[in-house]
Amino acid sequence: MKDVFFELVDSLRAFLETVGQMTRFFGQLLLLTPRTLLRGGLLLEQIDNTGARSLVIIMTCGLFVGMVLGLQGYDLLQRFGSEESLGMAAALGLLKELGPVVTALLFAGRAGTALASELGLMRATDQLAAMDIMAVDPMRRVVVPRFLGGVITMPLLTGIFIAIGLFGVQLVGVEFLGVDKGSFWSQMRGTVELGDVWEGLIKGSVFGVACSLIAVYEGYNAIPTAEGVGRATTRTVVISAVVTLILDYILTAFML
Amino acid sequence: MNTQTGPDAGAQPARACDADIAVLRDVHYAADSGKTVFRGLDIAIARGAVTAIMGPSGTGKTTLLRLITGQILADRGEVIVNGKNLATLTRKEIYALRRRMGMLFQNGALLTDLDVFENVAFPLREHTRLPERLIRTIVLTKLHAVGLRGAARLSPQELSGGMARRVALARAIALDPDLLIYDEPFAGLDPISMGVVMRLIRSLNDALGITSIVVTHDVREISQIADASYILSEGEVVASGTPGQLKEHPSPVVHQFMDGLADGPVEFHYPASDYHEELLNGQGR
Amino acid sequence: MRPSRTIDISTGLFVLLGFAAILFLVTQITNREFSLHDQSYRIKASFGNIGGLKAGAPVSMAGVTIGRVEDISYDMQSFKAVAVLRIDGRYNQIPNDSDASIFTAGLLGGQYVELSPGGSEQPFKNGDTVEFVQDAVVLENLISKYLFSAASQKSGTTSEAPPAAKE
Repeated sequence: MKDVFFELVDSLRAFLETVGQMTRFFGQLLLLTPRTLLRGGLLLEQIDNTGARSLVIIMTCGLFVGMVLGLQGYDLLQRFGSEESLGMAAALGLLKELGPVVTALLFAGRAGTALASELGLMRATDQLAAMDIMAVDPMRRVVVPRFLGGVITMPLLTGIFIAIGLFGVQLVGVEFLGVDKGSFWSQMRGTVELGDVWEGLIKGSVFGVACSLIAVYEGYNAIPTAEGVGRATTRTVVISAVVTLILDYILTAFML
Repeated sequence: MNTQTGPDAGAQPARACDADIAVLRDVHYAADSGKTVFRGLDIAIARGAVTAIMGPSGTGKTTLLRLITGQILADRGEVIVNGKNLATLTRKEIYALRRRMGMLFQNGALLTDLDVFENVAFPLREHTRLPERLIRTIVLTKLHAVGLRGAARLSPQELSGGMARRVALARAIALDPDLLIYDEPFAGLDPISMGVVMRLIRSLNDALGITSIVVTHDVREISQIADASYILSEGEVVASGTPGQLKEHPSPVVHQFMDGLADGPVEFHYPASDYHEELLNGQGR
Repeated sequence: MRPSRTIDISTGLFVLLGFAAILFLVTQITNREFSLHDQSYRIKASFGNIGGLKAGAPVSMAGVTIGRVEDISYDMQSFKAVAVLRIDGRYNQIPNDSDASIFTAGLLGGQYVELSPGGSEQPFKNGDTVEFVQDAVVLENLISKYLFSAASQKSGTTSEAPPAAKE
C-alpha cells in the first residue's frame, strides 16, 4: 500500500518536473522566435511540412465529419420539426467545438508525430550534437522553425476543416436529405456571429501552440535510441490529445 | 605555422605561445549518475601533430572530447584550448572557438534532409556570407580532398558507412579549422575504407598544417599514423608517448591493450561467485 | 537552406487555401446584415422589467434590425431598468412618440426590443428618451393570469386582474 503511495508521489513529482521543463523550453522558443521569423526559407519548409502535407487528411476528415454532422443533425432536428435549422446548428457546432478540437487531434497525429520523430531521429543520430559542434545552435536552426511552422499552420488548417465540413453538411442536408437550401444558409447567417468564428480560430491557434510545443519538446528531448524515438512519438499524440481537451474546456468556459 | 587559406569565419583568437593547442590539467569529472569519469587527468595535445587517445571501452574517451569542445565543463581542473580556459568563456565565445574546430562523429552525423553537397556547404552557409560560386568551389575542393567529388548530389541514405564518414570529414574541414577531432573513425569499416581513412587523417593533417586528435581503440591502425598517444584507464592517463614507446611499455594494463590480450588487468570473467559451487548447488533455480 | 520551388508552391497554395477558407467563414456564414457605423445615435428607454434582454440584443422595427441594445443598467432613483439603444444613423426619422416593447424571438429565443411607430412629426434625436414602453412578459405572470382568468370564467364571475405576483 505504501509502495503505491510513493509511486504516486513520484509520478506527481515527475509530472511537475516535466511541466516545469516544458515551460522553460517554451520560454526559450519564444525568445528565439523573432530572429527565426527572418529566416523565411526554413520557416516555409516547415509550413509545408506541417501544413501542406496535412491537407489531405484534414480535408478528407473535414468532409466526412461534416457529412456525419449533417446526418445526425437532420435526424435530431426533424424530431422537433426544425430541419431548416440544420445549417445554423452545424455551423455553430463546427465553429465552436468540432472544428478546432478534431483538427488539433488530427494535427497531433500527423504533423505532431512527424515533428517529434524528425527531432528525435536527429537527436539519436548525433545530428543535433554535430550542429552544436559546428557552432550552429540547433534550437534556432531546427527546433524553432518547426514550432513556428506548427503554430502558423493550425489556425489555417482549422479554417479549412470547418469550411469543408460545412460543405459536407450542405451536401448531405440539402442535396441528399432535402433541406431547403435558402433556409439552410439564411438561418445560419442569421444566427452565426463574427464572434463565433473568432472563437473557433482562437481555439485553433491555442491548440496549435500547445500541440506544436509538445511535439518539438518530446522530439528534442527524446532518449537517443530507436526505442526512445518511438516513445517520444507516442507520448506526443497522447499528451497532445489530453492537453487539447483540457484546454478546450478552459477556453470554452472563458469565452462564454 | 598554420596558413589559413579558407574563409575566415570569425575573429581569430590570439594564440598563446604554447606549443600545445589543448591542455588538460588535473581534470576531474563525474557523470550525472555520480560515477567518477576522470580523476586528475593531464593531457597535452601538441600543435601540428596527430595525437591518439586510446583505452578500454567505457573509460570516457568521448567525455574527454566533450570537455575539449566545451560541451561539458570539468568539475575541477583546467581545460585550455588555444590559450583560453573554457570555464571562463561565454556561450558566444565557445561558439567562436568551435568554428576553429572540426569534429568527425562515429556515424558521420550527416544532416539527413540535405544532400552531400549541401551537407558540406552547411557550415559555410551558416557562418559566412560568401557568394554562391565561391561556396561551390570550396565544397567541391573539400569533396575532392576526400575523394568524393563525384558523389556531390547523392543523399546521405545512399552512402555506405565509409563514404558517409568521408563526407562528414569534408564537412569538418569546410571552414579550415585549426583542430580536427575524430571520434572512433575506424569503427565498423572494411580494411580498404580503413586504409582510406588512415591516409586521409595523416595527409590532411600535414597538408593543411592542422592538429588532429583521434579517439580510437584500433591500435594497429592508429599506431601507423600517430605522432603521440595517450592510454586512459580508470579515469587517468596510464601511459603516453610514441606508438613505439607504448609497445615496449612495462605496465600490464598497457600491454594487454596494445597486444589485444583476452585476459589481464581487464578481466575476462565478469565478477561472479565460485564456478563449482554455482553449478553444483544450482538445482532450485 | 535548400532552395526548392515545389516547396514554395505547395506552401503558397496551402496558405492561400487557409486564408480563403477563413475569409469564407468570416463573410459567408456570419450575421453581416448589420454593422453599426459612427453615424448612429442613442436613445434611452426605461422598463419596469427587462426580462431576459441583454446588451447586444437587436432593436428592430417591423422586423428589420435597425440598432442594438448598447447598455442596460438600473436606475436607483426611478427603480427602473434603463436600456440604452443605439440606432443606425440611416434611420433618423423615427417618430419620437413611438413605443418600445420587449419581445421574444421564436418560442425560446433571445429577447429583443421592437419599436412601433407613433404619429409624431418630430423624430428621435440623440439623447432622447422613449416615453412609451412595454415591459418584458414574464412567463409566471402570464401563466397565473391565464389560470386566474380561466378559473373566473368557469365560476362565471368577472375576472379581475390578480395581484401582481411578487418576485
